[in-house]
Amino acid sequence: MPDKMHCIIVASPRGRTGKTLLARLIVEHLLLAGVPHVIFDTDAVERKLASFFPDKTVVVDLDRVPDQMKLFDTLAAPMRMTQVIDLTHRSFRKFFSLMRDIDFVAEAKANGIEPVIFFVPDGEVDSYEQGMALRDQFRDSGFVLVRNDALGEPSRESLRNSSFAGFVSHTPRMVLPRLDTFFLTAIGDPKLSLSDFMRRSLAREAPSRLAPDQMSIAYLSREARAGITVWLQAAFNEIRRVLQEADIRRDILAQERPTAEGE
Amino acid sequence: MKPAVLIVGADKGGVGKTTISRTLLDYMTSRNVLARAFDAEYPRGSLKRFHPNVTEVIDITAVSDQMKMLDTLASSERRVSIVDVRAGQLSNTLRAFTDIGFFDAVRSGEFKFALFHILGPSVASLEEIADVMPYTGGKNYFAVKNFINETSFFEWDPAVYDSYFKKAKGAVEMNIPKLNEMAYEQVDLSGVPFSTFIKNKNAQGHLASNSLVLRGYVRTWLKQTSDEFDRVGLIERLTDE
Repeated sequence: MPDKMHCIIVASPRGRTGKTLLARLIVEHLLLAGVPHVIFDTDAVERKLASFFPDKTVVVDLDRVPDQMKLFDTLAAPMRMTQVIDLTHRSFRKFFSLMRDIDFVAEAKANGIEPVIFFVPDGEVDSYEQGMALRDQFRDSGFVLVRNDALGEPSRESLRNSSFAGFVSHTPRMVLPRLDTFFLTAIGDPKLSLSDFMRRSLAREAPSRLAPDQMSIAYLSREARAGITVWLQAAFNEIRRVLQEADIRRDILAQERPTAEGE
Repeated sequence: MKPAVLIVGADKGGVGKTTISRTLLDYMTSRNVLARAFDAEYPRGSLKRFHPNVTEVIDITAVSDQMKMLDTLASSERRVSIVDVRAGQLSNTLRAFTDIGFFDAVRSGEFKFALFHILGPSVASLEEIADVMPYTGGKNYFAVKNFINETSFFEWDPAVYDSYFKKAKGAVEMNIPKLNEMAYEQVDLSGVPFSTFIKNKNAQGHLASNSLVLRGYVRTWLKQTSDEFDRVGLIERLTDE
């Protein structure tokens, strides 16, 4: 039996926490792994994720009911595709209240799609509290706690907070390693395919063989490119690992509760 | 359980009477109470379109139809009869019921009765309360503010509103929340009960292809209306001895 498809929701109650970067890395990971996928960008204004994958990203504005239908009705439809949703913090509440109201998790599971929330707290108390509330509300879906190293340490107040403490033993969890700002700018080029770059690096292709769409990093030193490769490798490994862990956790839960709901 | 008659009506049209009758039918089903409905919008019958199996279209001013409804109360296995009164006919209907001696029978405990008076956004609606409520003897009178079509009750100055409600002793206020327009329209097009729409079935009981999102909106809304019927203790009121 083929692996279950995932519905990956990258979410944070705050802006500028690295959601789009993580969503992009997840897509690039899927590209490398050869997993068919579809992408949703819920930021109809900035369309940042869509700018990286213009041909296969559906941009939706969750304030509009037709767009809500486009998103959730597609997500729950039986199809052999993994879905990646970059959820803007402006639609955070709206999205999850809809997800609860339409009982999306049950519907998706019935169609062989496994929802997994990648939650990125920003280090402040309320983001841990909201994350905890989210995890409790969607116990049947996967929940990956993401630590974005670029955001620094959690606030001192957070360290004393019960939600933060509640997350200490949470698995699966992943670290998004920090990348030097200069390199981050270099890979910010929307034309750059990270999976392609990675494939070429692993094949040890010479810089001269770089495709024209890799000009943004073509002029970096060999060491610099090696740095980016190492960073990408670490990020991809983390993503692959937590997705596997989420599946294992799901299987264990399914065995504990053999009386799955359904009509 | 004694036979119960629930009248749903308003002296004004376009306040969403039929929607309330539909939610009542769904609510009774969800509480395992068998109900039937009489659609007094003779000869059209919009309630019948949604609940064809349990609905009969009647002309409430015709004696034969009154008999069809009231004389079968005790014998029908469906203990609850919901009467969707045609717009503008509420006072007339109540008068006719009085003349038949229906309310005497209610007072003597033969039947249970509840009146759902659907209020519109205008002050005129509040004035209806004084006309309509006395028929019920102040028992099981529900003044329903229907927000389903986002009717804003803006004309109601709180002081005016309170003065009407103070006079209406024992009146129970209910609020039916707004349902997303697109979801409402889609159910309307499907012509099925709200609960059927939620289950993604069509009128024939086959799997439909209703939007998950719209079903979600309807599910949440129907739950809210059902909570509202629970809050006012509708079932208890109809079953207490």
